[in-house]
Amino acid sequence: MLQKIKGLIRELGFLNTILHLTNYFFLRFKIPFRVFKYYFVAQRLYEKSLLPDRRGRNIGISDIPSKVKPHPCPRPNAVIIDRYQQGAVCLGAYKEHEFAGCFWYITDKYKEDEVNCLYKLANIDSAWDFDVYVVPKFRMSPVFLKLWDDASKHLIEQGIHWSLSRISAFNARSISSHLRMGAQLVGWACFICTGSFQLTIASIFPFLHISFNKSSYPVFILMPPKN
Amino acid sequence: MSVQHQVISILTEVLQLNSGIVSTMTLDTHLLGAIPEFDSMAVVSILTALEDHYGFLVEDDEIDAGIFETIGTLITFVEKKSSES
Repeated sequence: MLQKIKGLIRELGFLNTILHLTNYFFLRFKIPFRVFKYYFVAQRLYEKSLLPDRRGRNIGISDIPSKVKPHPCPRPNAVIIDRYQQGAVCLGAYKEHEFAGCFWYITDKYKEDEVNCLYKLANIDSAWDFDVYVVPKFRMSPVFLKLWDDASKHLIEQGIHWSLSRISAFNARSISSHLRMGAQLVGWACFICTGSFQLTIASIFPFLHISFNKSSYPVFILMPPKN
Repeated sequence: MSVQHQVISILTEVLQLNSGIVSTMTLDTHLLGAIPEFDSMAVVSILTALEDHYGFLVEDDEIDAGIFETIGTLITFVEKKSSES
């Protein structure tokens, strides 16, 4: 147990480990509190593929329209409907007609579905990407990189050169993957939630927010790094 | 240099592993799920490095999570591909 905690501290840092364990404690003992911490990251998009040319040739990427039913992305129907209503676009990856994964993005603003907050993009050359999903059996295949490469090209064609997203501060693997792909940290936010109460502490405006009902939430205006 | 040492050396270089992890690596050392850097991007980079080093080609359909379970399974795969080419 101590070794596991030491490993977590090494991967996540001391404060994030404390927050993660606190959330684990709430879940484990069914205490109706939750703790979330997100890093906001920005990733420059490039036309040059990350995937070598000869890989991923049998993987096709296409737009999945909202009318497709059932939607191949394994999320509750209400979540899928809400995403399309917000104006999100879903790009699907298909390996020889078999659904292999998807990439969601939106170009204006996105209402988070895990906590109560809104992300607004400050610049028109940015998109917000979320829920990049790969079917488990394709997780070690070139599907993810093919999806990322084609999504990048698709966004660049629309004049978008940055993709922003949030990653959980408790997911070392995701943080490591994003950093190795060149993601740059643009901020963080921590949420402590119980019922409709939410305390938000963030490194970016509004820095501190307290909400007592669902209609009140922090709005984060996000932009790529200036350098 | 044995295949084991060559494969560990390639993993170390591609994943930029620290010497503390490398010195404890054996045939039974788990890769997937044990090394945070080991994801689909790492898999593509490792395969490219192995292809360059050994001169064989790995098709997309041959890529399977089982190959990257441990150092031992990866070495078995490399030896199999080397003998085919």
